[in-house]
Amino acid sequence: MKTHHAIATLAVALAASVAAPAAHAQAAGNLREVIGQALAGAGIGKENTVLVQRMLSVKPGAPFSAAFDPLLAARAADPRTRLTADPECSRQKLPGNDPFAVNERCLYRFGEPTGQDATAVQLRFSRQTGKFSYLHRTRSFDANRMADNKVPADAAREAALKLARSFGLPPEEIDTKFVQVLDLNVAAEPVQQAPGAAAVGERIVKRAEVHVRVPRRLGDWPVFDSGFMVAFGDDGSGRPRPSRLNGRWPDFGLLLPAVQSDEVFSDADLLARMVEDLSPEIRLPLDPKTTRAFIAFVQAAEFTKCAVTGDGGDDDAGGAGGHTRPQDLLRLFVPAVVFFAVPPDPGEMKETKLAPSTGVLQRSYPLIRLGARLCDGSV
Amino acid sequence: MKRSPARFRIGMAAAVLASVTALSGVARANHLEARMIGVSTWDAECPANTLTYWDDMVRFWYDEMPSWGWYHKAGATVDGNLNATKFCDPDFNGSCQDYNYIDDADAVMIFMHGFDAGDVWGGALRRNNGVGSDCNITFPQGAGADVIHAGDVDLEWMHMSSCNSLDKDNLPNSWRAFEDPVDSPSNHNRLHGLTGFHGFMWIGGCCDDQYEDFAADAHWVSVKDAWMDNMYVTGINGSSTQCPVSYAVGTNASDCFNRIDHERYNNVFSDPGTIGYYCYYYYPGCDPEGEGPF
Repeated sequence: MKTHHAIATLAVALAASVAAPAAHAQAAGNLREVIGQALAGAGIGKENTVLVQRMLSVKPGAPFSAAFDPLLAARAADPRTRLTADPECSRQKLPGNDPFAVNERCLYRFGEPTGQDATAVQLRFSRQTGKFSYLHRTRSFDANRMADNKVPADAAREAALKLARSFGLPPEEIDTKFVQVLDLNVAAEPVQQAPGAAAVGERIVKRAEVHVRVPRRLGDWPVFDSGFMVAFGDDGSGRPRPSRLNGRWPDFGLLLPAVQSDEVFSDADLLARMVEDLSPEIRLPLDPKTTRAFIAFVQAAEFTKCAVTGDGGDDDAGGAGGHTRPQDLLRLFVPAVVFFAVPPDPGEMKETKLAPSTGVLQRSYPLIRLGARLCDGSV
Repeated sequence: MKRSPARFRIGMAAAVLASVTALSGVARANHLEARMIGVSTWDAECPANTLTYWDDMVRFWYDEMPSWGWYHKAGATVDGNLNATKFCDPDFNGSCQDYNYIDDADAVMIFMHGFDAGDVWGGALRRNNGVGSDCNITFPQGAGADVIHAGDVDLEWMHMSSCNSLDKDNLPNSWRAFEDPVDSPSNHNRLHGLTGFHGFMWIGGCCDDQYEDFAADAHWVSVKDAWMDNMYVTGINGSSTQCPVSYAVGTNASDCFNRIDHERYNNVFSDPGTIGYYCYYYYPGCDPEGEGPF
């Protein structure tokens, strides 16, 4: 097998080097064409000002940072445990020279973090980043002790949406259209000690948990990389019992003053930027079937990192005359194109499974021009 | 190669630490080792697409690991002279040095382009100047030189940030990476857990939080729960799903279930004495790019 791998790889490398100029030229043309198709499919046209203005007129719900009450949230997941509040919550300054960078990762807990069977519950959250994680250790599935989970999908879905309200997530931002209800299964199988030998023992499969995954939406557009999930166990009578819950739901702010018609990108602008950005990493023709683009809200932090001046600045990220603190970028969202592609690898030119795959490449591109204004307090 | 005494000391240290922790509430020893090792830039002999963000994404896991009082950052090996030598076991070729790299840690995350090499995972290295003069490294179908036999020195957790690393059709062979067939029968050192993906995975800023939260959660609930909860990702409107799989071994099915359900980064059992069963958590029907539905 080793020799075959080496030969195959060298053959691919040789073939790739001979065919490189032609392949690259073909790839450049293909990249432009396929990205153009993806942008058109996403509804990006020559004139996107109306689209952007519509996106910037969405009305977010009550912010998670204000609505979230950790003790109420934990009680909704399990009324019997009483979490101990974190005395350091929001008080510890992060390393670095940003005077506003306070560690808001709070850790409320019940029970002992070590040991195998100790009842232990953790609620970890940050109002700043909108991240939260509820972990109830002893409610996780135990394949040796527990029977198949019999929680119906509909019951799990309903319970998850109810928990979302208890965790302070605004109902108007919950994308009920794309809720996923997934089984989590566990299986055990006997090993074959030698290839081709008979395995001794039975195969066991159990339905362990039901996972509900809920994306976030504002108006007609998804909020990329924002949502929550709940893992449900079975309380013994087929009713859902939350074992774990996590989410990313940063407060939603917009870059209103940055919106001018001449600062909204056209499809040609986007295409040029995307081709320039992606061509070093996509060297062979893309498959249109696995290339997709979506219009969505994306955190400004994904595009821009503001320099820290450390001079105090303005507490209000939207106020004039201050500067935008790095952590505020987490709360600012930008209308953007979210792009997915599966770039072929040079090895895939040869029709063999020994070629590496390149995975799903994801990039985001703002629909409006971002620059110094984002960091100078004029956002 | 045999480091049972060291393993014993680690076990003792963990026991002492657990006692201290029970009193103080927080462990601060950071006595366990976390490593990251892999490739983002393929600009040497081995042909593959460069994806420069990969190591940044994995670093979110690596940087989070010391935050919980059990692990320290023992080394990040990124690009450079990344060849098969750092992954293979010296029992099969004297030049192999996995004991200085992947098997020197307690938890390692390996990142590189992956592929389905027939019945096992294969990964795309950066250099072919190591053992076997090969651009690939694979999980074993049997004993071999340029394959991964982990756990016989130190490693407990091997996390694969790599496509096709736990494809459904390859699961019957994945357990072979959990031991060194030469050393493990005598020193009883074996890997505890392997996490990876069925089909293609994602690379991008999308997934920073997932890697960070996985590291945090796995100190509180099982490594399996932390991996499955955080690493399932879908694109917008349910497209391009990333399908995580978590995998363990045991003497029998019950032993395997016990391990995969209860072992955490800070609750590590003794090494599996023998491997009679493998077990795994998965999302049935999960449909990624690059593979059919699980």
